[in-house]
Amino acid sequence: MARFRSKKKKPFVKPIIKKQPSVDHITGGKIPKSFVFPRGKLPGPLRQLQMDLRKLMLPFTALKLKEKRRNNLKDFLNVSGPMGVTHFLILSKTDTAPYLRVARTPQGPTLTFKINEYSLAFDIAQGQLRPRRPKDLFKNSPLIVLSGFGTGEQHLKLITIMFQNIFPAIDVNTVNLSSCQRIVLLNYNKDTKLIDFHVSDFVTKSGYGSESEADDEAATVILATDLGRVTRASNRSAVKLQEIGPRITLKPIKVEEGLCSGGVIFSEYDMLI
Amino acid sequence: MKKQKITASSSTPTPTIDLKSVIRSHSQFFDHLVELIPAKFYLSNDDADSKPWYQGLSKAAKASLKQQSRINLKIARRNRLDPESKSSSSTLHLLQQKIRSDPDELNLKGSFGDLEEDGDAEDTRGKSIDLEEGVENVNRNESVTYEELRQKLRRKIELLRGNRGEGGGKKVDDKVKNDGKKRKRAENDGEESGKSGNVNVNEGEDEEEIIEYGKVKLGGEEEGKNKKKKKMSKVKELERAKRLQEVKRENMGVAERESWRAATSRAMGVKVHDDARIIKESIKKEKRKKEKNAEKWKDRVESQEKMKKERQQKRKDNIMGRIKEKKARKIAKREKKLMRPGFEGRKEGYITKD
Repeated sequence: MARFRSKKKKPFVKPIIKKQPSVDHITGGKIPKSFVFPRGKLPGPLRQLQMDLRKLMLPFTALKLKEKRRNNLKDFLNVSGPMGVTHFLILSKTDTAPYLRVARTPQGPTLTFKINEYSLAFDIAQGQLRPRRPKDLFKNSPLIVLSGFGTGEQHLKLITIMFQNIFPAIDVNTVNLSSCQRIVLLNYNKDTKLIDFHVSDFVTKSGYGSESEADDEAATVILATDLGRVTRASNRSAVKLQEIGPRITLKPIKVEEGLCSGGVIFSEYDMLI
Repeated sequence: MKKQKITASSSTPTPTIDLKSVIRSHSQFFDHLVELIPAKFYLSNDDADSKPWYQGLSKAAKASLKQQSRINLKIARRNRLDPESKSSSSTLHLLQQKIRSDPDELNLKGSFGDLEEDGDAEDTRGKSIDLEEGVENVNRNESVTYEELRQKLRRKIELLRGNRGEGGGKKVDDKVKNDGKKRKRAENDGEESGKSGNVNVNEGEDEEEIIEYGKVKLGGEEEGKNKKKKKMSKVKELERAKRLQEVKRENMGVAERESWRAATSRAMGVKVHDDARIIKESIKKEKRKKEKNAEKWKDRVESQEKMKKERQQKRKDNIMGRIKEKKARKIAKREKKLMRPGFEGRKEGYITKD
């Protein structure tokens, strides 16, 4: 009797499941959401890379997506419709190399990249003297900067458009500067035809940058809005980047018209289209 | 250890000791030692300024004193870091200054104690001139080389600045100019989306470093575009798709261009309907949905009618029932009066027929 005496009957409270908006209330457009999942069995480091990619796409992705071996692509497609998922990032591995496919859901084009090299976020943090992990890092989606993609080739244009639309749009007038904390840098090297992929974190310092820096003017920026307690608007501040995320070297291999199907409109190796 | 010492002292019996050099080496050694001790600890200055007394003063006095001390700090820092001024912060230098200023007041307290006070004073006084000269020489040398160093640094900075302008200079300028993101005039005009915009900066000047940013939303573009867009009916889309397929089969160039265009617009989020099969299926689906809806509507109306009829019927029955009941009750009441003992009720006529 004594055991059960202290049991209080609590009223039933329905757990509130936070629903993610499918339409951005600021820009009015559809927010792109993504699924990152593997096809086939992946070795340990690749699974960690998949986790890093999921963290990269936060908050508009399923962090704890569980998939079974017997799930097909069709199953994912069926789920993505009602949930409003627009992009798939598919990791796979063969004997030669791991591959990353970026596809747009309903019947969108699929870009296939071969992963030449990759470093996990954990390894990068270990190599740094002072790794930074602010708590709200994954609350907002990252900004994206692409460089070197402007050579005019069709597939490069498609790659830029694809990556630009994976992350939601930013309203320049109403955006809060403190909500832009991460940045994804993609750099295309014409000679080796490789894309470098970095994820960094902003480190701002109010007032002028360190006095020893030779380039005072260029590295400082006038903030449009307040960023924190110290960095106020319309004050010069130095902005530095510190790398946090995975580092991947990608090589574009194939562009298909459909979702992992359809005609091949660009191929790196075989030019008989 | 003691034995070693004794032997050492006994083994130096040179009568012609170069006293000057010995004294010089000793004094240099002591100077080095003094140099190691920061002036703050070695020299005591019992002036009025060294220990300011804040407690008993008025507020204004306190404030002024504080300001004074702050100013002093600033001046001291400036003097310390100023490359032009001769460095007078070394303990030795300060010591010499002090001795020069008041040679009588020898406040050379330290770990040596009072016994050696006079001795130290004499040494330093004797050697002060030489050392002063030495220090001054050093200072001059230092200042000269410092100037040179500064010039070198300036030259290097200029060089780096100049170099940067050639290669990635544009990049840096872009970053400064685009505080955030900007708009790019889209090359393919067919596609709208007032939201997408990205900058293609300095295309003409610098082809190497073209930087593009993510999507930005700018107001004022959407209202115009929304008016133009209208959804084509699905039948029309089907026809268009069929025509497109035929053209594609004939002309390879057109096919390629079309597929690239479709892929780009799909990547941007625009829905492209170019597959006839899918359009047909969707038409069928729509038709089926419509039929189903119509059926459901019919059922609903039917059931509604039925219910209405039933209710009305029931009402009628109830009313009729009530009237009949009333009549029956009246008859019963009338008949009750004639139920006398020995009688069977109302007469129905004569028994005989005629």
